[in-house]
Amino acid sequence: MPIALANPTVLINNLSVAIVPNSCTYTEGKGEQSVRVQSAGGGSVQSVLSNDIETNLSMVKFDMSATAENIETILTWKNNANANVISISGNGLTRSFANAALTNDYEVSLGNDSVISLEFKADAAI
Amino acid sequence: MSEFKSEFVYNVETPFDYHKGGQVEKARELILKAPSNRQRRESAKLKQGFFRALKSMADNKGDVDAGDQKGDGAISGDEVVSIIMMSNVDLVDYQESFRDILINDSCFVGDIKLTSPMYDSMSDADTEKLMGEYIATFLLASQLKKMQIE
Repeated sequence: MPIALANPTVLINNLSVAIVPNSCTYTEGKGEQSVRVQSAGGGSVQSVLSNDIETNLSMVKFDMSATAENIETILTWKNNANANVISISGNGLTRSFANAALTNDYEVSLGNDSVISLEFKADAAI
Repeated sequence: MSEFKSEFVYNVETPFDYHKGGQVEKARELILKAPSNRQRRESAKLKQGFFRALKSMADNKGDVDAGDQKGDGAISGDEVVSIIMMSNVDLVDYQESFRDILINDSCFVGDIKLTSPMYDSMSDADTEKLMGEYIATFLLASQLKKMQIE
């Protein structure tokens, strides 16, 4: 029976990262496509596929617990600008995201059960 | 005063991926640095393990058949691994000590420190060979020299 990948290994800059369970999501970076119709005359139409190249970016999101060590690590990623690499793997799946930048102005909430939500944008997954 | 190497370069037989400057690169060579007191625990375990392995292989007279040894009394990395494997030293524990020493600021890929996930990506053959070279070069050189003089 196939098993859903629910506990991936997340590596950033060669170090393993402990994340909040069930919080990791990513996009492949294949971009968005739109399909329009062009008229070919005589009542016939053709569909035209168009790639929105602007959206050919991967996004990686996950949450981390707000520990002092995590806060420092996250700050390092932020300061690295787009010189981070993220690898996600598990159950035979491997995706690497080069030139990853931590783009959101993450909120550090210091309290019970608090987490930090992170959003990276990177080159399309390989 | 005798001089010992402070680092050497190991060419990886099976290159592995690592992260550098926002890119995924292939690691083809590793820079190994001699242990300092920072790695004294792991270093002591490896040295002691090797000499225990030697002792367990010695005959009644205390001699060990070292096979084709180099004339200068030096021992090769392959010989080190063979001796450890043939002895009753626990190879799993021994490899763990070696892993601990490597990820504790002793091994670099360019200017990137070897981390645990990078170590896990290395092939078993490379790890074994590297272990032998590291022990022969840094941990046994001084001891064997001393024994040779005696």
